Amino acid sequence: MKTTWKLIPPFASDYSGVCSVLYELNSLIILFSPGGCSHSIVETDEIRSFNIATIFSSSLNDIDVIMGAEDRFITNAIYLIKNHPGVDFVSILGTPVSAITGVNFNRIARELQEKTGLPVVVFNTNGFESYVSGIYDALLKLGETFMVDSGKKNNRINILGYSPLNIGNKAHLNELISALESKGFEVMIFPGAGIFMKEIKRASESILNLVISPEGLGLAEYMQMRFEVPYLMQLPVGINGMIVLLHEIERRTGIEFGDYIKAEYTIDCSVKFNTASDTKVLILGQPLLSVAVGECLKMDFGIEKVSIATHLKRKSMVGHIYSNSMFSNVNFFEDEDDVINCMHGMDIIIADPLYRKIICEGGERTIFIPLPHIGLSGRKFADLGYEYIGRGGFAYIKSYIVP
Amino acid sequence: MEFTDNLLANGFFKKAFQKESCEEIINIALCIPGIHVLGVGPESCLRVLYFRALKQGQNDRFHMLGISNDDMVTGKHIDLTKIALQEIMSYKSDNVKAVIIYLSCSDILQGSNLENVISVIEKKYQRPVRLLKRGPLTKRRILPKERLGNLFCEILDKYVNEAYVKEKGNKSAVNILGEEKLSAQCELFKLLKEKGFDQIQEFTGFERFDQFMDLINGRFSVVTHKFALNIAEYLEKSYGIPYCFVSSKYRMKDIESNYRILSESLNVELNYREASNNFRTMLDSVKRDVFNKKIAVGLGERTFEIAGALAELGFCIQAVFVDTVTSTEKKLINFLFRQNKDMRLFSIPSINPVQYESEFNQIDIAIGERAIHYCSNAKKVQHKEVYGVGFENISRLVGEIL
Repeated sequence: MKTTWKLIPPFASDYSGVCSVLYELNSLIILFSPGGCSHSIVETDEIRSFNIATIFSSSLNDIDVIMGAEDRFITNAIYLIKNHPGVDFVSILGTPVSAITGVNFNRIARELQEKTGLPVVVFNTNGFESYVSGIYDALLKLGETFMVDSGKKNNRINILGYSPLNIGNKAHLNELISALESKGFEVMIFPGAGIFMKEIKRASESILNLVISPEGLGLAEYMQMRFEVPYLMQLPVGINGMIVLLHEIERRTGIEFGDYIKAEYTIDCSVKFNTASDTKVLILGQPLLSVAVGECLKMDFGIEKVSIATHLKRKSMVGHIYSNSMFSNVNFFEDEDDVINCMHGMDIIIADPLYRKIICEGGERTIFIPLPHIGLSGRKFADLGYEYIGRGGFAYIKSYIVP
Repeated sequence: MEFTDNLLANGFFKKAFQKESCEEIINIALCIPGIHVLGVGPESCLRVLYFRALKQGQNDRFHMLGISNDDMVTGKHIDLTKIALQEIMSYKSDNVKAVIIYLSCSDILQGSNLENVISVIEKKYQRPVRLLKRGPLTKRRILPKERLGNLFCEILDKYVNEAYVKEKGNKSAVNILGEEKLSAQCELFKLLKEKGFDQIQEFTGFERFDQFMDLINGRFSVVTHKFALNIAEYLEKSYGIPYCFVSSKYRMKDIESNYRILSESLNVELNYREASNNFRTMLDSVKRDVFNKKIAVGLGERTFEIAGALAELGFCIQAVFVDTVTSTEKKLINFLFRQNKDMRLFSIPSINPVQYESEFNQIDIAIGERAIHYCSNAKKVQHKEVYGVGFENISRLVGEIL
C-alpha cells in the first residue's frame, strides 16, 4: 500500500464542513488558528458569495501557541462581537493547532457568553477529519443547542443535510422543492439561506425530515427521538428516483402525488438506450449520491453493472455515518492506486472532473460523465452545468449515454 | 485624522475574503524541475497545497502524506515520512534530484525530529532531502520564503562541484531571481534586451534541472522578490556573481529608485525620464472628474503603498481597509491624511457594517477584495499585481480605475 497521494486531493476538512453549514446562518464564525487555516475555505471550499458570511480567523503566533492565547482570544473576540451586533450566535471552530495544544474552548465559550449575552457554540473540529464529520456534528449540535418543541404543522417538511460540499449548488434542489411545494408543503432547507434563530427553533414543527445526505442523519435521528419527527434518507436522482421519493412522502404524509407524478414524470423511459447489457459503469463520488445515481442507471436506463467507490476514509465518525446498509455496496478505498485501478476497463465513469485526467491514461473509449463533488474539487468545477435530481438529472445522464 | 477605535491594537482577528492564490510558497518550492515536494500534515493543510500546485500545473512533483491525529500523537508520522521518502526516491528515480519536506504548523508544534530519517534517506539515495518549516508559527526569525531560498542554495551546492564550475566558465547570462515567471513583454526584459543582455536565465522558468545549476554561470543577478535575496547572496559569495534588488513598485519615487539601482548595477544608462513622461502623458489624458471620485483601497499587504501612489497622482483616497497597521506604515498613513483630511482608515475587525453603511455607499471606486466587500455600490477594481520594475503596475491600475 502506498503512503502518499499525488493525483487526488484530500477531501475538505471538518472545519470547512462546519463553516459550510454555518455559512448562511446568521452567525459570527471564528476559527482558532495561526491564520492559515481559513485559506482552504477562502481559496477552495466555499462556492458562495463571501458577502453573506462573517468568518474571522485568529492570527496566533508562536508565543501565543506556546504560552496559551485563550485570554487574548476572549478579549479580542468580545471586541469583535460588539462590532457585529446583529448576529444570532457566535461559533468557535477548532483547527489542527488547537487540537494539538489543547485549548479549553468551553471556558472561552462560557466567558464570551457571559460577557456578550450571545449564545456561543463550540465545534470541536481539528482539521484531521473530513467535511463529512464536520457537517454531521455541526447539524447535530445546532439542533441540540437551539431546537425546541414547537408543535406540528401539517404541511411542513425539512430538507436536512444540505451543504455545497456534498450536494453542490443549492439550485440542484429546485426541482425537488417545486414538487413538494406544488402540493402545498412548506419546505425548509436546513441549513439554508436567511435562516435566523427563530426558524431554527421552529424546525421541530415539521411532519417529516427528508435527509439528502448522510451528514444530516445525526440531526434527523435526534429530531425523531426528541420531537418525534420521522425521517427518510433519499436523494431523488432521475425519473424513477423522484417517483419513488414522492410515493414514499405520499405514504408518510397522506398527501397524494399521483396526478403530479403523472403530469411531470411520465417520460418514456423504455427507450432502448445505446448501452449493451454488459456495459460497465463506475460511479466515484459522494456515496449517497452515487448510490442514487446507480439506482437511476438501473431503473431509468436499464444498466445493471454498476460499481460504486469513494476514497472517503471509513474511520471514526465517517465509519459510523456510512455504516448504514444502504452503503454496503460502496467500495471505500484508502490507497490512491486502488482508486486508479478501479477505473480501468470501465465503459462509463461518472465522477468529479478531477478524475478525468486519470482515466485519460488508457481509457480513451470510456464515456466520462462529470459529476462535480465540491467536497473534493472545491470551486474548480462548481459552475459546470450538471444535474442529477429528477427530470433534469435524467436528461443530463441521457445526454452522455444516448448519442 | 480619524481612526476607527482600537485600530492598532487589534490585528488579532482577520476576516476571510475570497482569495485566488498565486505565487505561494508551495509554488516556489515546486518551481525547479527535478525538485519534488513531500507535504506532510493534516489533510486540511495538504488540500490547500494541492490546489495551489494544481493551479500552476505543478502536481506532478507534489506528493501528499496525510497524517491523522493519532499518527501525530504517537509519532507514527515519522516512520510514515520515511516510507514516503523512499516511495518518492524510487519513483522515476532519475528525475528526482532532491526532495523538500514541507511541514505544517502541527508538525512544528510537535517538534518532530525528522533529522534521522533525512540522514538515512540521503545516505541511501545520495540525493539531498531538506526540511521546510513554514506557516505563521515560523515567521519570527526568518520568513518561510527566505528559508526556502536557503534550501535552494543548499541543493545547488550539492550538485555544483569545481569541475562543473570549470566546465561552465562562460559568464554571460543575467539571472532573474524572483517568485513569479515574468511576462516576455515586461519592462525589465525590455530594458535588459535594449542594453544588449540577450541571455536571460529566469529562476521560475527553468525546464530542466541543469538550467537551475547554470545559475552559477550568471554574469549578474537581478532579484525581483526578496525571497531570492539569499540565493543572490549565495551566488555572489560562492561564485562572485554580483546582484541588485529591484522589487515591484507603485510610487513614482520608488520606481525612479528602481531605475537608478538597475542602471548603476548593470552599468548602463536607463532613461527614467522618458518612461516617466510617457506615464504622465497617459495620466494627462484622464478626465478631470475621475480625480474627484471617492476611492476606497483594501487589498492586503500593499494597501497603503497603492493608496499612497494614487494619492500622489491626485486621486481622492476616501477610505482604506486594513487588517492591521505596521509601524513602518505610519508615515504613509500620515501622508494620506495630509492629502485628504476626511479620509477614513478602517480596521476590518472593528467595522460594524451597519454603522458605516452610508459612508460605504458614497464610495465611487473600490480597489481590492476588502474594499469591494464593504463598498457594494462602488465600481469594483480587482487589481492583481504582476512584477514590474517600472510603471507597469501603476499604469495598469489607473487603466482599471478608468
